[in-house]
Amino acid sequence: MLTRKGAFPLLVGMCIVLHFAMILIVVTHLNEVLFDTPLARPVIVCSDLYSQVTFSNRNFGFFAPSVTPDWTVYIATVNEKGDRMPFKLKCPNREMEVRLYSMVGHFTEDDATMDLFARSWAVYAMNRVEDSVGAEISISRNIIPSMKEYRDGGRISSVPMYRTTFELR
Amino acid sequence: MTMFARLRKWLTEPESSTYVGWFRIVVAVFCLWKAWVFRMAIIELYGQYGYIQWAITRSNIPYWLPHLGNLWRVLAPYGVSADQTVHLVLVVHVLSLLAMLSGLFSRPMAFLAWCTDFLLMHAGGGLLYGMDYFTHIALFYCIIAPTSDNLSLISAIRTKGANHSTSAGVTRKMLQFQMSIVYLSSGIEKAMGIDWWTGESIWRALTLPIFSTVDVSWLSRFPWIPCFVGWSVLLIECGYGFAMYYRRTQKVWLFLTIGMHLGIGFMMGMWLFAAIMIILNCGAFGPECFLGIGSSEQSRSPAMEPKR
Repeated sequence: MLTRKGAFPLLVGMCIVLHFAMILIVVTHLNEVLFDTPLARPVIVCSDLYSQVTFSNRNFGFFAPSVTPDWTVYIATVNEKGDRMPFKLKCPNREMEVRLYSMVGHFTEDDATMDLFARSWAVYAMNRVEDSVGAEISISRNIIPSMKEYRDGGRISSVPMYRTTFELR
Repeated sequence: MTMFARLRKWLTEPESSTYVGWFRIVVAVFCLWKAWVFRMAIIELYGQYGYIQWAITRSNIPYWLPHLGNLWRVLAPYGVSADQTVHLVLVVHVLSLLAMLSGLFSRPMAFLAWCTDFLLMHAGGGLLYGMDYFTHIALFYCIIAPTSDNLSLISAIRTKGANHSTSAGVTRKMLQFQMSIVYLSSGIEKAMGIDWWTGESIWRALTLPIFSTVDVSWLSRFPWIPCFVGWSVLLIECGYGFAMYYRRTQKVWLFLTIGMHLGIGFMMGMWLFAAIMIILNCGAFGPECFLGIGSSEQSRSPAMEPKR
């Protein structure tokens, strides 16, 4: 019979097994394979939830399978006369720059995210420039030449990727 | 002895809680440093109308999980603004870290720091990267480890301190296993692309305008250097889970891993990320590598046994 003294290590052991099961489900991409399987749905939901709370079971493949390009964000506010004023996102140090890189990385995940993020930046800029009645957001992608292309004279180039405008009604 | 019994013996072997005490201190110092680094952009990162609005970050998590916006709704009737709510949570976060650092109610304070970190992370959901995830994981291990048994105000006041405990060993071995999974999965995912094998990933990482801290354009004339570095990263990450459990290689591998993260810090300027990874590595395998803990029995090979 299970005593109170014996139950605690068993409970702890089960928690540890569950913790690592949640991690392994994500890192092995089993959650993606089982996503459409109705029977596995509760497991996937639990795994997602565990990820949102503990951040333990994330996909840890940073810079994998390759390094993603970086982007340049251009923001301009527009006043009632139609004058455009460039606006820079506040970036006081190097670590903040890395965060902004990450933010624009999330921005490129899908079209809906792009529009939401652009709207968010427009609101941020317009809140800080008092006479603004609109904002323009444009994102360009930096193309990095390969080592061979660089030796052959290729250099970093910028390609427009996204552009939108917002106006106060 | 069966495999399961050996595994259980290894896992439940009592260990000094001094190491997890040190881990708690270093994690608390790191989190305070992180809070200091981002002090100039608190509202931009976590504010209601920061770079990513709460309306967006709120929709990314289930409605019943707490968000800074929920806390603000509770505090708003008392005249507290959204920005003041952010500052309030940050103050609680810093105070809990200071208590954790001194060892005053370490585990409840680690839990409080973890909760406030959770609120801040989800409020700034669009700006997170690896460093934030690993900081949250480190705080999680500070909650489950017996971090107040040693090097704390409580242990100084208490006459009978639990110097050795099973939970200290278990939590550190959990951290070891977690780090092994992290590096192995990261290594495999990198190896699945061609760019890490050819060195192009290293070249791109160092030349991207955001990460470029020094001019490395000369590397294009010596492609074997990025290629060698790329292969080394794959070897270190894929081999981590095996080499760190083998006594002869664990010290070398820990130094290689720390070297890799220092390289990320120097060349890409990602110092917070480098620091938290080094802390987690040393917290997980430091005692074995630097103090020889856990290797006393394994190191006695038959040849070393005294002749009878």
